[in-house]
Amino acid sequence: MKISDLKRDLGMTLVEMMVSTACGSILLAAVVIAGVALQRSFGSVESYSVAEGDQLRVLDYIALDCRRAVKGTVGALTTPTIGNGSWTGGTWVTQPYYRTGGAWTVDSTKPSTLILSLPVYYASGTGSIVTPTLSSGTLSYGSGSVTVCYYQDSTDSTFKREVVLQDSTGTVTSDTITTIARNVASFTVTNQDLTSTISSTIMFFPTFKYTTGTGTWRSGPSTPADTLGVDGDMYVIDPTSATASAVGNVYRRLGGSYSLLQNVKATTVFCNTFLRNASARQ
Amino acid sequence: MKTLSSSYPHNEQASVLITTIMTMTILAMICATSLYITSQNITGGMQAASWQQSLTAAESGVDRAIRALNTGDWGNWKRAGTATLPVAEPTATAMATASPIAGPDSTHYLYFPSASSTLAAAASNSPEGSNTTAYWVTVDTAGMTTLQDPNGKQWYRIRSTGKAYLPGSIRSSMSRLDNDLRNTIGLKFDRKLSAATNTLQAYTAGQEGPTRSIEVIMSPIVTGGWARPITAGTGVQMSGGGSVGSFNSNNVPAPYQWTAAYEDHPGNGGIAIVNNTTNSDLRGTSVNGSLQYSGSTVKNTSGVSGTVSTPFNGSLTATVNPNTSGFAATDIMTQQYGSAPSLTVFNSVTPNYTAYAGGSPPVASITVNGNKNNPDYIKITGDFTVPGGKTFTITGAGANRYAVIWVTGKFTTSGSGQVLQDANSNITWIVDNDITVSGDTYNNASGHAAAVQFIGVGAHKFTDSGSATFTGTLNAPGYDATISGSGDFTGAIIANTVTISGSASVHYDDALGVQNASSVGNYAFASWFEDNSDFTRKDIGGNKLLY
Repeated sequence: MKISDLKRDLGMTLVEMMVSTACGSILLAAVVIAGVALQRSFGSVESYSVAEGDQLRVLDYIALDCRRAVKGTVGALTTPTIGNGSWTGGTWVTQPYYRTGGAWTVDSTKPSTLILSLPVYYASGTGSIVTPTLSSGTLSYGSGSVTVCYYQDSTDSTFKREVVLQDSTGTVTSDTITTIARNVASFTVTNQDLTSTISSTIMFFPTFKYTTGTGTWRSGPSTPADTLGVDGDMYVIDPTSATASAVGNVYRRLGGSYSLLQNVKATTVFCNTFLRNASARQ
Repeated sequence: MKTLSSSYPHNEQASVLITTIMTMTILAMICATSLYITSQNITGGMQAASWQQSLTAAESGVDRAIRALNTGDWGNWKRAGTATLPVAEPTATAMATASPIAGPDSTHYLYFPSASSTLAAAASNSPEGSNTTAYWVTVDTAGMTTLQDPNGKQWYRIRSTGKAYLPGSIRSSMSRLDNDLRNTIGLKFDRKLSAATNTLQAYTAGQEGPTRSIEVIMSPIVTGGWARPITAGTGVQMSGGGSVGSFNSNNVPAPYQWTAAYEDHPGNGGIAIVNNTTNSDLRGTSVNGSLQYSGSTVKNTSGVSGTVSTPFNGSLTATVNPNTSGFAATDIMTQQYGSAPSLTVFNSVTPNYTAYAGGSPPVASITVNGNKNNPDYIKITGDFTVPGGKTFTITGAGANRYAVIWVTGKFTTSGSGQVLQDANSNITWIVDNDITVSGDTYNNASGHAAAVQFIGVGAHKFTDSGSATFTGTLNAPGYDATISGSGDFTGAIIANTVTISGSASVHYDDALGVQNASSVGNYAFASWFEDNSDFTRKDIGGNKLLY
């Protein structure tokens, strides 16, 4: 074989180029598609796992506090102080107060705020366990009060746990708010009788199923009005709906109007906790 | 075969390799990241599952302690020579194991070791999560004394720590929130002991895993005798007016009646319901004492000053007619007479009791000559009625005279009719039908509830109405008792249901002998708390982990 022939063979014919380019493109496209699919799948699984973790955490937190509560109620105070949860005055009431954006708001249609009172089990300062005292049949731990509050903050779709410690004079000595879950669509305490159990329903946005991109997740009891939000927003019917079968309906806003995508039921968790302390059952 | 031209630059040949290596590196990093995230998710799931398992173990420990308290069987428990509870699980071998072991007292706590409660999965099952659970429990008095209990009984504190052992490398979730909730008190480290010693204390190898601790205060539930003002079989209904409290008639000047100045604080005004099946509702009525019940939840108990607890495992002793052998066994009779009198006298062929036919009233007056151990016996066959304008006078022949009067029909006082019982007499009425009485129509001159005792037999009604205080007791476990009007009831009530309407109050008389007449039927939760703190660590918000 001549060298000069070899040099000529280094080139490719147009047909060869077209075939190789086509094959390469197909292979590359397949790889890209597979990669994107795998990424989306992994993203969905990850979102599902995170959502499940959030759900378990919320359930465990509520169950933990309900079991050890000595009093439970739904609502807030008649004279709530806005700002950092310093609701130290007023009288406990049930609806219509709820908490949003660090403030108490009156709206009976809004989600519940679950308020639990715990015994003052830890000594202030040291954190050591307080020895209970008994006086003529009345048991008590430390003085003051411990109040744990659960609520959905509708401004950022988070679910918060607020712990307020007060001393014997009613002065707030500690007020901590922790976001324990995100993407919460609704929170309702379904059994406000509180006779023996506290039944809570927490609905999460199905973020593992649908992503909004730059849009926003919203929720409500009925089909959304087209004037709500912007294109790309998602909307889900939450458990406050009067129509049970509609709960979980997911809508997307495109072209200025909402259209139903699918009913997604798997994002609502229920917490039904028996109140261990008989004094909490009313 | 082609030969590469020398005109091709060498760096172009290497770029393929570099590109390949970079691509593979990126893919490997993506893969590793994915696997790491997935691994963390699995770890978080396992952590949550084990955390639940340790709670189940801790609750089992509480149940074991309650059983031991209720039965007095402290088998397999250890008795420590101190009342100071340990921070970490103590060493069992250093403790007494004498059988039967004595219960906890002011200088000893009892301890149940985890070695006796360990449940391990068989190796052949190859569990992927926790393979072993265990708990250790302590029971002590927490410094509480019998003097602090209205009935003179001992309260106890139970602390139970449940553990779920995780095999292999112990890892906690990457989620700080999860760790704040579920990593407290340690996955790998004994955080309580670490806090106590101010140094990290690792668990014994092979025993790492989440632990959860529960503290329960158990209150004694007394049964028998006049243990409290109201003991109901199936329910209590209150109006929200009036109150339930206690005082001691022996500490009150004549006429020994309750006044607010002599109210006990805190009081013995307890209420017990054997099995609440009638939707009991206290409606916020002030109860200067405790509430114990079984069955459905009692509503609106905010007025209860003492402890609300459940269950109440007591029972009501059925009352029977005095011509049956079971009658003498009723503890209420024993309480009044010191020892139960033999009432088989009512079966005598030749009656050695005084008999009357029913009437309105059957006789205008009687004189009581009997004493506590040998009371007078009177049987009224039919209804006993004191209508308006009539009186029935009971006079003791001397101090501390006793009589038992058996009415086979109804007992009724009404209008201006009156039973006038002097201060020397102590009367036990045994009634086989409805009882209608009031403070206006029954004048108990002694002022002491123990002097007038009604025993209702069967399932009938008891009605106390009017504006004056009735002083006496009612032991009628089959009766539906109603107290209406503004007249108070001083004494104690045992009935199937108790309804208090209007503004009437019930005043328990401590002189009925609460402390001596009752016994502990069982123990019930007075407080339940899970300790999930870790004061040595800060949460995601920078706050110390307490609640």
